[in-house]
Amino acid sequence: MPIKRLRLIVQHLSFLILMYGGRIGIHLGPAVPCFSCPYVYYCGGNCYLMGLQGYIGFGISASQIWGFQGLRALFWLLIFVVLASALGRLWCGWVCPFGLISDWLTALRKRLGLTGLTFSPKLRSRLAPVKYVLLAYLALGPVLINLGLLHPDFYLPFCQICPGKSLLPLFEGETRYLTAELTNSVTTGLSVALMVISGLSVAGMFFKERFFCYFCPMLAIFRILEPLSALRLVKIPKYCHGCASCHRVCPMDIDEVWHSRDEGPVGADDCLGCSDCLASCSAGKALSLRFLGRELAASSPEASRGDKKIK
Amino acid sequence: MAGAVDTAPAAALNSHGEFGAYAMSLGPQTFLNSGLASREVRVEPLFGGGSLEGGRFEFYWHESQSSLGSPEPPKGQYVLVKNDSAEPLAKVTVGGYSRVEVTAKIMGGDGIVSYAQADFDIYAREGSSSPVSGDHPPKWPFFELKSDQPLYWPQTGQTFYISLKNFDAGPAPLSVWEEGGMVAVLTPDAGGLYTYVPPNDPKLDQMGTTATKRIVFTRPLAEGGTASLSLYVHRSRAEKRNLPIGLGIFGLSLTASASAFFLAIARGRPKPCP
Repeated sequence: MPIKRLRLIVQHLSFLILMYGGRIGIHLGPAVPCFSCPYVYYCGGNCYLMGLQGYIGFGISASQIWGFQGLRALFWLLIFVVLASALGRLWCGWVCPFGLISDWLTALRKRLGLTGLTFSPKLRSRLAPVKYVLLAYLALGPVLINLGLLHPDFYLPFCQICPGKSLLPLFEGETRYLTAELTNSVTTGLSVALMVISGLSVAGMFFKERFFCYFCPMLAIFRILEPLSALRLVKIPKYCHGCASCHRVCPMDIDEVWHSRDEGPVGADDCLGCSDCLASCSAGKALSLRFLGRELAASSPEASRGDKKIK
Repeated sequence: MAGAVDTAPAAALNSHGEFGAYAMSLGPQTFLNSGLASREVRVEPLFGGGSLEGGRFEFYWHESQSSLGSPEPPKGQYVLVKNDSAEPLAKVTVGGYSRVEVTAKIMGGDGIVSYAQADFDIYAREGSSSPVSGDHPPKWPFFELKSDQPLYWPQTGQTFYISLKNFDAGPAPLSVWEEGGMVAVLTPDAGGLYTYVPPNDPKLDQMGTTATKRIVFTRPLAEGGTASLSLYVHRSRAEKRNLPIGLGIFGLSLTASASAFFLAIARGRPKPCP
């Protein structure tokens, strides 16, 4: 089966499981390394970013960090690290429901014949720190709340401004997270920020493939866990034709794969592991996807025509 | 408090002429290493009235549904926590998410018997529900609290229905108390049901979503004492949500962003050759 088609099938199956799995009793726990949003009532697993914020908040406030609560937090952290390391950025490119919505919007734009945006390397490098800033906000917010330095209504600070919270529940008909919450100045500010970010994200995802991924703190975590990743995209430059198709098809406009002259793992901060580069590459064996060193798929002239079978 | 006492039913005054009702206050929730959660409940004179001196206390607790308004039947049985103690406090421990009712009999130093009941939530991480063994309580006066709105937790703006069980006297008004004193007097409908909707509280709105305030319902007993129900409510989760404003901001943001992206694309297009 061609990689692109396989990816499309996996993406849609994942979407069904993570968005509606709860309705048939599927719940993968609170350590899912992608936007499987717990604000979707019947979701099939919870995005770890929510759990992480909760655990950080607990860790500072409780005296029982080495008790049940602390060990429980550690257990889910380990599960997350194992899941994130095993599949790496494939969670973003192949599993994330929010990523699939982005792909749908891009497909709609292409169907309408509208031109999309391309981000230059300079712009990409300027945007790169944003996801780390959001990760720091996500991690420090609960600490500041527990120290009394931040209003308690900032609880789960990243979730409060995550567009996944407002947009994903729409798929089960829930509009309550598209409301302005006018209870006090903090809830008003956060809900207005969420609406602004959600509007920006929808427009962004329509005009630019995977627009929100440039800012996603989960991608920042994947970058931090990169050394542990079992799954690698490997380039052998001697087979590369230098055609730049990997750059042209990349939803994140990454040019590092094209430019790399070193034999071995290749990637970039913003790589989503979507494998579009590998699927489009017509140079035999120039690019390959390897799990613990074992080749899962490799580029070839047939692959670029969509005939390549996954081993 | 004098004004509030004046408007309270006369039978709520104790033999010393004080307003002799008691309420229950909750301690902070603590997690045990097992994953169960525990909370201390304490009997106290309602807003300084009455006295605990020389009193004896008996506590029962009961794990009810997972949330108020849930259609599921109550989970556990009534369990004796403390029998004939001089200490006006008890501790309840549960596993899972539970709504808990604690009832105390207060044998006052002046010989007057009163009752205090509390209804609150405990959020434990793990563990099974309450023990099912234990003595059933005697037929104490009891406030049966219900709501037809299965909300996450009791909150302002929610409609509560209270019916009285094991009260000797016929229909009588129910006094509603908050921190500042008595706020309402409820009369029952033909079926003996009292209805109360706690109004929105601006002070509670300024606090975090987990903050609560206590509402105490009191009812005099024919024998001279008082029975009370202490209910802890959060701020309303839905009252201040405004969908049209939210959608409006979302739409504005979407339009402005789309226009900006569209302009950026148009500007970036190569110009046609002259």
